[in-house]
Amino acid sequence: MDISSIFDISAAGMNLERQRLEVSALNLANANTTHGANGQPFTPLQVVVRSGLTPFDAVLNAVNGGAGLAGSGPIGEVQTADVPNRQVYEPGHPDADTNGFVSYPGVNPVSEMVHLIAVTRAYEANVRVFNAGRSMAMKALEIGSGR
Amino acid sequence: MSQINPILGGTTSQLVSVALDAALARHAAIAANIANADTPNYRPLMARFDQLVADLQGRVTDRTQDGAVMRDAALMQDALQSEPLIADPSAPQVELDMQMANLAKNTVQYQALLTAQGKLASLTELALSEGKM
Amino acid sequence: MIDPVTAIAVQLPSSVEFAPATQPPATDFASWLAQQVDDVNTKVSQADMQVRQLAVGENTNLHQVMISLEKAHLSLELVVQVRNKVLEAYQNMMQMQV
Repeated sequence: MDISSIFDISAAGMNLERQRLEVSALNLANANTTHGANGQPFTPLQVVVRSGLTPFDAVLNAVNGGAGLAGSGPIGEVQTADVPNRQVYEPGHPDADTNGFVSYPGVNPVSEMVHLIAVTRAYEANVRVFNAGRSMAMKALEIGSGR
Repeated sequence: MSQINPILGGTTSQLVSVALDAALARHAAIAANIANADTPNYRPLMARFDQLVADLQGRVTDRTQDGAVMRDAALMQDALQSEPLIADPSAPQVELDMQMANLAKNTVQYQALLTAQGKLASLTELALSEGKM
Repeated sequence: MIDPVTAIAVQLPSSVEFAPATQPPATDFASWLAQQVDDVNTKVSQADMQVRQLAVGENTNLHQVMISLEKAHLSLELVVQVRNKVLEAYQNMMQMQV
């Protein structure tokens, strides 16, 4: 495994965490959006993460002696979360339905905040891995010096 | 002793020199991207060199192709002088953490090349000084 | 009565870490030295090749490159120092009054 693939894996991880942060920020910002472009309340989003390693990649790794791990970082897809809308009784609201209920997006601020904490920690962990990889590379450059 | 010649400044030195130029070009691109991180409608740049150098891979281990490799490397160095930076097709906007990651990667590559070339040259120095340095 | 100076049989180290495994152990100093020179050639060539791969960005371990360079340096240093000592010994011999 060469030195740049180690950095690419951590970079992919950081990318993913940033994506999750963006989605969380979007959800929180739109927590009270009752009326979107299509007339419907905002649909909360989520990031579904899958590993970049397919079973074929695992076989290729075994053949190449672990040289093909560069594409194995996580890949995140943004999808809509299947969460029911909150119904709030506000008869005077312009978006109220016939019974006076307004549909707000089913965004749970508490769980989004907890999610933010987890994302931050994961991002920090990726940065630490990156820095550790860089320190190791710099140490490898010192082999044979100090003669 | 027919293969001691490479350490006296042949294909390897040329390749390392080209790779160092490429690292500098990449650094310039990253510096521009970071400086313009908040500029609206700014398109991130990358070093054009990276597309050219992939052509060299796989040919450097065969010493019989050294002449062709040296010519291509010299051409690349000239090409780098004229238009080193182009727009990055894979990045529609500047992402600071990716730029920082690329910066660290590039710095390690630059220092690794310098150290390796220095050690290769010290082999020649050892032979020339007859071990009395 | 002075005993004749007998040649002290020196057992050279098998130098497994320097000589390639495929070569049979050398029987005398001259062939050992020749082996070491070939070994230096191989190591320097290998280190040079790995530096090229590092420059072009092929799949190379950074520490592997550094270790190869260091091995080459140590092999060359061994040969150079052995050569220096042999020359010094020869010069000493030539300076002897007959």
